[in-house]
Amino acid sequence: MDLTLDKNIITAESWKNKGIFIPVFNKEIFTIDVGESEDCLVILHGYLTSSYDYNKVIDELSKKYRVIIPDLIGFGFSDKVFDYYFTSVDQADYILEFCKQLGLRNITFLGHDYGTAIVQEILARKNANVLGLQIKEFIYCNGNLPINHSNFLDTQDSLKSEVSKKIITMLASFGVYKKTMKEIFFDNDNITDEELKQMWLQLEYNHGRKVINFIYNYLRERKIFWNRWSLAIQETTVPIRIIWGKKDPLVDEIIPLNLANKVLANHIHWINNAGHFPMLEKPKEFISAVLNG
Amino acid sequence: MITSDNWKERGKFYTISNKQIFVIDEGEYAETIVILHGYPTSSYDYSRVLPELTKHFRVVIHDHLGFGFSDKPDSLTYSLIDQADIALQLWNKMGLKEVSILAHDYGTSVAKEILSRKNHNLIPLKIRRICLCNSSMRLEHLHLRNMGNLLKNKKLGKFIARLTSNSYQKFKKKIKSNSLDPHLNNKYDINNVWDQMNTSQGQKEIHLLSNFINERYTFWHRWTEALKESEIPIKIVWEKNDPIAVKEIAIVMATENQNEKIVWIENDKHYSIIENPKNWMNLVFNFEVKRRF
Repeated sequence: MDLTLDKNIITAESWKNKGIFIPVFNKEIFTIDVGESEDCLVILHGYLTSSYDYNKVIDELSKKYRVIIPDLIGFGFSDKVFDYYFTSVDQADYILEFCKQLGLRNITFLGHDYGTAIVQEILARKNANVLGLQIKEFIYCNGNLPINHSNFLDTQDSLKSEVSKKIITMLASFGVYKKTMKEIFFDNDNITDEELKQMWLQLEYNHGRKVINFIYNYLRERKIFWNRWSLAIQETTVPIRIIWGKKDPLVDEIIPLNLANKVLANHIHWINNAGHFPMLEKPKEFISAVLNG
Repeated sequence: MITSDNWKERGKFYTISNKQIFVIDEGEYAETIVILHGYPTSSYDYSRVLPELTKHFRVVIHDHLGFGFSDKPDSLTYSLIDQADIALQLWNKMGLKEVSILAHDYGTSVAKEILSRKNHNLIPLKIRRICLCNSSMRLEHLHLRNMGNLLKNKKLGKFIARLTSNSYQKFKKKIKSNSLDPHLNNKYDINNVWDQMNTSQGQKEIHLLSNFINERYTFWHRWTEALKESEIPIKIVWEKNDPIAVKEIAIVMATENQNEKIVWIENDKHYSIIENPKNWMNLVFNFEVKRRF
């Protein structure tokens, strides 16, 4: 068991005190913003979780970067939406306005899981020259690729609803949530019950659990945009680095390998003995991958 | 009558994201109208109203990617979001700074995506006003009701598209029988529409393009929100007996806080840009009362 985990666990409450709320259009976005560097690292977290995923790596990362981690709309301490399906295209609009408001430049985007889709949407607009934002680099971490339309058979529609059902079940209680989350770690001792409890509290914040099941629509988006998003990463002039928890039960190893072929980022920084959340499971390795890439 | 070839000669091609986009650009006025055409036709739909429109405006109409004379790259799906990017890039390349947007059917979704971006401060283009025509063309009914449903079916779609290329006679007959005007075929050259669909593997693409129906569900909230929040005057021209539009309108009206910028106009006499161009012009632009749309 990794000894670093025995140190004091940051509670959801103290994490909230570390951040500020930034109003973007009509929503409040909870934001962690630390570090003095001119180089900005904007981290877009994954589905169901929040900026809290980075609590073990932020101190080190902020020595090199100004690290900005917003909770995406509908997650963590940011505003949740009740009568509206918030698409990744909407998320991208909000992130772009957010970056503009903070006056961010020399941006490195780090996307994890769902966050990679939002970065792909941003890159698509960058390629289409309809975006006036400087992007220095994109770090791609344990996230799925768009679903190829021609490979997406009818049978996979049932898969969609299956995934959707799984998420609903997972959110039924903390017990089920804990069990499901632990399964996507390489070693389930690498995350404590107490930490998962803190993540659960953020999920529950503002009745977030009620609104969070939009996975069904998100899968549809990945299908609608398979061409847009795969072209976005193939045609972009923004350098892409891949950092990957190698034992991820959610996203197959073939994904980063394919991705590396497509984007000529032939270097994949594998983090061994880590599952879907390398930043939580192997914080030291994750830090050195980001900083020394 | 304007033939398909004549129409092609009147326009020119712009290269947008390495693709050839066909553009009609006529009229001497500073006030510019940009037109987003419907599905699955092309800029040619406007050949009959163009002489009237150019008496008042500079008129810019492009064929969406995958339609008319624009490029139809093989086996790609284009999302409505891609079409919005292309339109924005084209107008930018043409040096347009301020425009009014007129859109039909499929084009109204592209217009709403552009409006979303405008509301979110993402584009510098000034938009004077927007006119959305949900349906004033019988052809669109036919396609949404029959072709659209069939093409949307993943298993049947690819066969239907191929079949239709052999069944031009049926296509013609259907258009005739669905039209209020029995002489439509004399006035509107179905052959021309068909020729355009037949170029560059048009029939193959039409299946993939029809994915837009899924997008309308996915972006329902994003696009109704765009209308609700609009500070740009919007005119919506609708028809009571359009089975698709009426349902949409009912839902929008039921959920919408009244935005005083939005004006609804019922096209109760079924004027269409092809069958009754002059009447349609008067209805949409209010020329008779000297008030432009």
